[in-house]
Amino acid sequence: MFSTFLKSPKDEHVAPSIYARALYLFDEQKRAICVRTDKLFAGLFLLQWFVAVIWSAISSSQGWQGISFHLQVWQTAVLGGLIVSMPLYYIYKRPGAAITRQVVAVAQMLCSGLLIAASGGRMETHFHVFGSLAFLAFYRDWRPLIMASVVTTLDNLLRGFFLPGTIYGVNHPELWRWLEHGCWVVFCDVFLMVSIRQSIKDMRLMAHRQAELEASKNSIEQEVVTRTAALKLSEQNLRDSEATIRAIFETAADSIVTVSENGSIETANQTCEEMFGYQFHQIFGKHISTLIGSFEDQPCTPDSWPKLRNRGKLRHSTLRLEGIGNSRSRGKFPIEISLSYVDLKGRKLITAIIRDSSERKEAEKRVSEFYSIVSHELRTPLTSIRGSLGLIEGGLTGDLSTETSELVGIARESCDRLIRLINDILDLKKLESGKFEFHKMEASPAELLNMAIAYTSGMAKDRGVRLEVGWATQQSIMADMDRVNQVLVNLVSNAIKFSPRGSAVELSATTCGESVRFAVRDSGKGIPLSDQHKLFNKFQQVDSSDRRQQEGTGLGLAICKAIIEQHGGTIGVESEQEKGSTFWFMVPVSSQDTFAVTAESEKQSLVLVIEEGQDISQLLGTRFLPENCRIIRAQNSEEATVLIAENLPDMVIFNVVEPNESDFELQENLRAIGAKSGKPVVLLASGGDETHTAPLLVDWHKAPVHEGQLLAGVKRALGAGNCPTVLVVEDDYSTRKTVVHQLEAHGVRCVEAACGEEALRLVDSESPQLIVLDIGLPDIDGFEFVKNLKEGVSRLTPLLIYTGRDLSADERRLLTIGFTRYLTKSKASQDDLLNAVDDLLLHMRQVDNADTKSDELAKHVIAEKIQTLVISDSELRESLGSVTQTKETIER
Amino acid sequence: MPIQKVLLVDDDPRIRKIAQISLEGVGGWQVSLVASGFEAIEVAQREKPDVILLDVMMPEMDGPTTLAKIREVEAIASIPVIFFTAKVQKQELDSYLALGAAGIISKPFDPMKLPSEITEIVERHLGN
Repeated sequence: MFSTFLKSPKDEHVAPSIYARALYLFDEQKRAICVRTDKLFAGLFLLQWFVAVIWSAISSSQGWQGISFHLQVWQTAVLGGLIVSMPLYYIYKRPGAAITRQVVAVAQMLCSGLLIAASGGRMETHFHVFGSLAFLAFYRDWRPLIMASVVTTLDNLLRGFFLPGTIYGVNHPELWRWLEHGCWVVFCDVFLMVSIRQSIKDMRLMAHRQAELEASKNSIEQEVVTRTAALKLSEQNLRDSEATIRAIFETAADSIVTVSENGSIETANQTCEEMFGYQFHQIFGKHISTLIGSFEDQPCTPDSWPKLRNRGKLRHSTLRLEGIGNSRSRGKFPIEISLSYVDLKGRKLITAIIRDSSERKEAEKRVSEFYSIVSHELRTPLTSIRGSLGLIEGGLTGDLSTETSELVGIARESCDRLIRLINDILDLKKLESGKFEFHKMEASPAELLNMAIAYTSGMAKDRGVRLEVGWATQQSIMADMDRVNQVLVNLVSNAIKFSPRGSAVELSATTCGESVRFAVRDSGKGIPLSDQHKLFNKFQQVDSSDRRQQEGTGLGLAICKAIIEQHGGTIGVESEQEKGSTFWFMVPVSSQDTFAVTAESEKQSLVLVIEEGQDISQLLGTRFLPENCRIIRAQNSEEATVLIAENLPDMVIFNVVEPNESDFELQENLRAIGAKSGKPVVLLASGGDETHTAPLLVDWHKAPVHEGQLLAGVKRALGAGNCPTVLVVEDDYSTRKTVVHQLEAHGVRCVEAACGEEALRLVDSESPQLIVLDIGLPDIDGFEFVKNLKEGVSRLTPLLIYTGRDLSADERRLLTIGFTRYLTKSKASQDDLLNAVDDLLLHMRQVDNADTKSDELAKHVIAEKIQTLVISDSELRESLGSVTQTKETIER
Repeated sequence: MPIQKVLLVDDDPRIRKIAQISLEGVGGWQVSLVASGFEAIEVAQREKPDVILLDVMMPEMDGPTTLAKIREVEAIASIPVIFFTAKVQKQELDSYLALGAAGIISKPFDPMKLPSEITEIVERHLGN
């Protein structure tokens, strides 16, 4: 019933649950007040009764005449008892109920009446009425007040008529006196009701606030519970995942060690502890050379480590090496090491995966011994057979019939072939297992060709085939001459075997990038495309019906392939049926010193700025230039001339608004110097005349200078790190040079490849930002190149297919990797080429920025994941801490 | 100095037989045959051959050990020794040469060319 006071706030959207809760709270409080007030009234009734009895006893002597003392006292006692018993009964039976309040109101007013009567209608006792009303207002309910007012007014009216003495103290009061009393009561009621109304409003507000508070507390608690659960779950997941990774890490069959850039050990797995006989705490922080004695015959020491670390290949991919490990318990043992870089939020680590290769080496040794013994055991009986046959054939045992001689000859030849076969198998086995010792030295391709011709000229003569030497490069190679000669002789003998009488076999050696390409061309019947890839397999015969094949062992080309691969080269064949075949192989010009740190990067560039103020030099000096740049400034051309003579800068920037004669003169001089030395490069910041400096001019900026553009120009001119590298793959020399020239003038650095193999190597070593690719290449064609590229780490490199022919949709699909554009040489202008290059480079930059070189990341995935786990773990702890805090705050 | 007497040391009687026919028949030399290193040292001292053809793999005393023993006996120390082996591993062959052998003839051999090979090796050896 109190809820009528509690209205939903008009302008607020209160959630129904909060409203209901507020109602409930309000009712509860109201009820509590009523019960409390009921109890107070119970006490009051008893007190009043008692006081009334005492009072009547005292006042009876001076009271009404004719009424005995005892009678009056008894009357008060009985009447009072009757009046009081009703509310007491209700208070006892139904505390807080509305009816109880009404009964209390009635009874209280009757008490007032009784008191007034008992006091003989003394005016002062009427104040009891007002006091009672005020007391009833404790209920904070207006209804009991109404009831009380009605009862007291009626009391006044009735007794005023019938017993005026008991209420007004006089026997003939004025007739309207009851009305006056009633009015005063109403007067009092009005204020009490206003007060009640106000107090109800407050209570309602408080209930509402409390409900809201409770709701928000609940929701926060709910949130805390949910979040805590989620956090616990994710923490558990992280723990599980970390445990999995750790288990993988610990139980890996290989040692996994991470070291800092300076080589100190940071982590090591259990296998490492077992393999090297150390506890982790014994090696933690120690240099990796504690575990590894040498890499590829280079001793591993804290001094030699940086050289190893800086090996170019390690920066891009995993480096696999053989070495010697130092075990604490069992001394030195052979190992295989894979090193890779891991970049953890800027902190560089090197992961070394170390495998104990003792068993492998032991097995290899046993296999090798086995081969050796088998070979020996085969040779010994063959020696007898071959010797006997030789002696019989040689006629030492007497004359033979023609038939016998022929048969013995066949037996002897077969025996020779068997011996060759055993030799070849043994050679191949050794080559494949890397056991073959090569004695590499500088070798001249021309000499190698001549040697091969000397070895095969007899055979060529027998078969009526001419041997011709084509172009032989002057570039020398690093090779084991005997082995390369073996390959050449093999290829030339094959060529002779399959050449028709009277034809020629041509040998040549040309430079192809960093390799020399040897080629042996015959004009035989050629090899079908489908058979070409089989050629270098063991015991392969393209045409088994070809009797000439029987002269070989079927291992010749497999041995050639193994020899060339051991030289770091490649071997292949190009053949067209009925037109002949070209067998070729490439051998690197010299073994690259992979330990060398490029001196070029250490080089400092000098920039001369000619300007009156300090605008450009300050701009460059403070904000833009790469670290290896030094800036000198000249106020005018005279000063600049002196500085140029002294320092010969790499670049000159003119910032002269109104150039005079001496400026033009200087520019002319620069042109002369530049033509001689290839530098300095002139970059005009503002002013000046384009025509004066044209041959050296790389950039031109009109004032006011755009900072970014200027910087780009400077960097381009200096060939600084930000200058993009483009790989131009094109076999035609003049086309390649034209493209390179155009691109370089456009401000990109170019690397060139004349064949696919070379290009693939450059992709690895140079990591170009763009590849401009011709399809028709001498060794592997563009399709094969793209296929290879797709499998490598550089598969995100944008590609510009620049070819002479129109490509079909299918061909395009085969040529597509990531961002790929196609240009047809005859149709595309220079601008088309440059635009395409710009577009693709822009893509690459975006890709770089987005840091999506996923393959690079994939390489380091385990280490990074561990790191992520560590970070998430700490984040989790932090958030758990904050949750706990929040919880505490709420509870407070 | 033309070769007249050859000492052949090999534990395999078949190879001894073939080599004998070859050396006597083709080379026209006087041939002594022994089956072990011990015998070789003894016979060499008695016969004083112009060249010793020494098998590498022999039971009890192998070729290299025999060579070392021969070098210890003053009377026969300077006789050229040619290893006669079925092994083809380059490093093994190199190690034999390092022991002071005049040369190596690998098995299986061509019996018709064996004497000329020996002559060639000995001439080269003495020329040095």
